[in-house]
Amino acid sequence: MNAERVIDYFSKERFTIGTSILRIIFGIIILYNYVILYSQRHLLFTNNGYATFGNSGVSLYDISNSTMYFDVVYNVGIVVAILYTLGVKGRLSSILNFIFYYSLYIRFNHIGDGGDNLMIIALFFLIFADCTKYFSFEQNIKNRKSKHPNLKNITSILHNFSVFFIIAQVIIVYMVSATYQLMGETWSSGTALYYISQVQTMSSPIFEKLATGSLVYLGVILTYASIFVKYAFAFMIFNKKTKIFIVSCICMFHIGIGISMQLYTFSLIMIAVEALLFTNEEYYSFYNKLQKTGIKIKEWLLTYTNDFSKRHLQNYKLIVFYDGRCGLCLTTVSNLQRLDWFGLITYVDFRDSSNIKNESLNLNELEKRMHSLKVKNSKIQNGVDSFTELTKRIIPLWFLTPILYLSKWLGIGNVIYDFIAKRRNLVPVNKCINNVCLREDTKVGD
Amino acid sequence: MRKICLLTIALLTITFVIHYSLILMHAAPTNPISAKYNNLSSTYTSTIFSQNWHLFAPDPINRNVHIYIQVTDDTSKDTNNHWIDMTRHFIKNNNDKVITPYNRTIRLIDGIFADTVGSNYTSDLITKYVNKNDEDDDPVVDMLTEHKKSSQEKGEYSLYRLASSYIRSFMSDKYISMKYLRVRLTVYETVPFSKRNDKNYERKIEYNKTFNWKEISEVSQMY
Repeated sequence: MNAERVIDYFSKERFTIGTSILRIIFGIIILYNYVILYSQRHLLFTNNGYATFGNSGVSLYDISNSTMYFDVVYNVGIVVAILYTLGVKGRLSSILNFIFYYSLYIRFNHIGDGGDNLMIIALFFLIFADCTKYFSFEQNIKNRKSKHPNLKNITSILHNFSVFFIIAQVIIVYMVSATYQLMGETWSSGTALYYISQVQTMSSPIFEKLATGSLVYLGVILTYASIFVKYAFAFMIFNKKTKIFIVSCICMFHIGIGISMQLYTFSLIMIAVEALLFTNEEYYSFYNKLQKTGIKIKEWLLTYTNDFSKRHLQNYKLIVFYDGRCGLCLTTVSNLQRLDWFGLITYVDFRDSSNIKNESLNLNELEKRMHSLKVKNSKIQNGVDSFTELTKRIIPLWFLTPILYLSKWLGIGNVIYDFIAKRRNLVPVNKCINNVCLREDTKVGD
Repeated sequence: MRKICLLTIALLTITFVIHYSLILMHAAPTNPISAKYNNLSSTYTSTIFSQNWHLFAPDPINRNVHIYIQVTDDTSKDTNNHWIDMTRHFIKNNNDKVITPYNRTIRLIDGIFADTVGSNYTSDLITKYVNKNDEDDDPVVDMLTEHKKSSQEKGEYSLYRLASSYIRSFMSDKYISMKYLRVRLTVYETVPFSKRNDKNYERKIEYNKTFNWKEISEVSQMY
């Protein structure tokens, strides 16, 4: 019975959201490093640059000293990093990305930092984890594929252990570095940040202010706080409630380091690994709370802006007639309804004849193009004009408004609109909407 | 299958314990256990698991390194007054933009200086040992001396290559066409905490060394 519980504990899918988030952030940081150092790559990483690189035996860059070979490997590394970030061929791209980035990392010499060090170790363990379950190109394929239960158990065990290895590594980072801080005289006397803030190659101009005036004493407090937060981390992450507090503290601590010491990627890496500390249930719980808060804010805003909306927003009300037998239209309407923060648009299915009884609208025209009716002046518009009116009322789509006006002005707006509208599918095979079922895909005009 | 699952869990748990024991021995402050198993932990952490979590501790950097350069066609001329502060270029570029390669390349200044003076050796155990045993014929002391020498050679090489790249990338044609360069490394101390309110306090120079004239190298440019 105990053995079953142990197997259940280690094979339960827990951290797949965290590993997926970490994959994306690591991928972006790796891409950033590749791109930002692109112009300096020969100076920093080749024997034509400022240093000489012996044969380490573990870097792809050691195979040849040719600059062309270096450039090929570097550019392939970028492509691999893009695939890794997008989650294409999860395990394979994870392995390749590790090989390519590690090959470059061991040539970092003087330009590397603790963040790079932690990321390389974490990337190695992530090879054994499932990092593409969420937010990836593979997620849909993955969800459809059903693994054999036993194989699933083994991969879940490997996944969970790889996460445990990374979490343990992060704890070691904080515990060990805090212990070294305690051993140092400037850290124990609270003056370490005062001295670091004077080092021009390590400090931003903002940070230099810690060495002047009364801010000196803030520096003393922050010096001690940095040690305290690191030690507290190891003890507080094991409790659900204290975990959120300490992770927030650690994030603020690293944001501070990022801004003051200009260690941007270091800070981002240290913050990113915190993503592994939360289980899938906790992420879903955050998401639900966030949604509930969003609804509450929306309700609050609606209540307090009721008078305003009655006076002003009524003039902007719009009725949109959509095709209730078109899958694309149904999905679009559903998405647009979520974005219609002020409730300005009413969507009406023109297939339901009762909806258009009182309007002077022609069913054939409605089938060809989406129509809209302005409540204020009963003005009817269609095609790209309707779509423009929609985007004007939906804030997240404002960026499309000038593009749509331009397309209309160029005379291509309705051409493109008609091209898409004519090719829309009406009620997909084996799907029924409003009790209407078709046996084959039907195109407009069929 | 149940057995395979249990076996996997057991193996991974054992690996976890052994792995982090070795990591702690390598990364944590030196103690009798880590001293005893130093060879094993150092070998284990020599590649992927290589790590160092000193992170500005125990003693953070408290110096400002400046690399000055001079170029000439005639090394016999006295050019002592025309020193160009290369470090300023790195600091300015790093401070002016958030997204810039200088955010990384600025680290070359302190890194190369540490190599040049041979102070980049981070094995706590050996440092501790050498501090207590400074006899000339001690093999560990000899090893560290050898390491320092090699580091200094590497540092000087990097220093000249970086300076050559700077000349070729940012200096006017008049200088680029010149043949020789020499480098001066100057390190200024930071203002001690007790002197922070003393407006007349002058920062002391902790290190100042002018290296020999050398030919400007063919090296990749920086942008």
